[in-house]
Amino acid sequence: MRRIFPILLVSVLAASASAQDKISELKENRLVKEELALAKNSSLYFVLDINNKTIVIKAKGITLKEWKIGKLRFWGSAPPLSALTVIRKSSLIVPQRVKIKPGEAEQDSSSFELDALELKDMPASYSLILEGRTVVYIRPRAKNIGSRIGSFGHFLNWYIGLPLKNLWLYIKKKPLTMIDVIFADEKGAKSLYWALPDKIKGLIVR
Amino acid sequence: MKIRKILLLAGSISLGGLIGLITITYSVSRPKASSWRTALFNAAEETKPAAKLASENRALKRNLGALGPRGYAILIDSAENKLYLMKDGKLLREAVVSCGSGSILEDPGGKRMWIFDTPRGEFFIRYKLKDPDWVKPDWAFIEEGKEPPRNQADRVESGTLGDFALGFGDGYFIHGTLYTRLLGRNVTHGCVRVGDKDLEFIYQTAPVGTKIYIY
Repeated sequence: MRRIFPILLVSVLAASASAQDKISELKENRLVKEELALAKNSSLYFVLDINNKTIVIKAKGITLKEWKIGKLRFWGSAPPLSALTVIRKSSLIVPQRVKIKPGEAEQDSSSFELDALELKDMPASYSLILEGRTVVYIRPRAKNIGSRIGSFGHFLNWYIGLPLKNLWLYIKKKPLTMIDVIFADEKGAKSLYWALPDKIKGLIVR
Repeated sequence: MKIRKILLLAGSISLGGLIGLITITYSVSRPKASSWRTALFNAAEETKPAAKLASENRALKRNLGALGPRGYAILIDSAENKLYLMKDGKLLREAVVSCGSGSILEDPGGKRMWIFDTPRGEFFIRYKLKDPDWVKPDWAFIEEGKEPPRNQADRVESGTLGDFALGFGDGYFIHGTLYTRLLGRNVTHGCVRVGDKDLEFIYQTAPVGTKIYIY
């Protein structure tokens, strides 16, 4: 009996490790297949990697730009391991394009004012509404009083409003997956907004 | 005394209800750790042993790697107004550029509208020009408040595009600029403006067919 127990223990541990290996290989298999399909069919796509806390924009399998995520948390069931389309980007402040007035383009160089949509004009706090009932909330870390008040509002919403909303949606059999992404700085959040054109597809890796 | 008891009972029920609601809410909304770790697997795939899956994954990754550009590639970050010339994944040159302003121009006739964005996605250098002339499109005249000429010769302008131009389709170019102080800003009508020295290096280094990725 004394000899059998260690053998049994080793066998159980080995079987468990083998099952873990298989799960991770299966997961990788699904992800690489999905990415391969995206790389073949989409010119640009994104990958939100929850484990490594990164978001990347890719084309044909190569990474074009990478953002490090400061903090990440989520509610609800896991998003599907398949390509998801960004249905829309939702924000309080929507960047407005400048309308050129014909004949007024030639300006005096001394009073030159740039009428352009630039990175600084992008919102820093917004949400990405994805297919598969998945919402990704993006915002920078609060640094001044105004943003701290906003951040407190988001905190209340995250821990009270959104769970209650999800309870209601759960009753209606339409639960949401919510991912909260907090960037270390405003520029990261703004440049991600810029880099994600409407209808871009991507993967959420977990 | 009776009122106090009623209030206490009502308070207890409310508190109990609130705690119950919070418990239900959190149990419904909390992340299901097991489902976040594992995926919904295809039953047929599950029959494959881990070793076979591992070898299949290696092959899939090779296929994915093979889709990427070989040799030279140009990456353009339209938000940061930066251009990166790469060779086999290594950075050869980084340049400050100017990309599209995102402005809108409407034809006073009301029939046409232009959005001056630099297009995003995958492109390639279709042709290269030295000392290029700019054949001004209709929007260039409309923006100046002029009527687009019927005669093609009246549209040709020299010197505007700098010393070189690399066409990547639909009238878009990587070209030079007279307005070097605006490099790093979003000011163009969709083309990518580059400073003289950087442009010359790109022109001489990147052959026709070089992939361009704009994001």
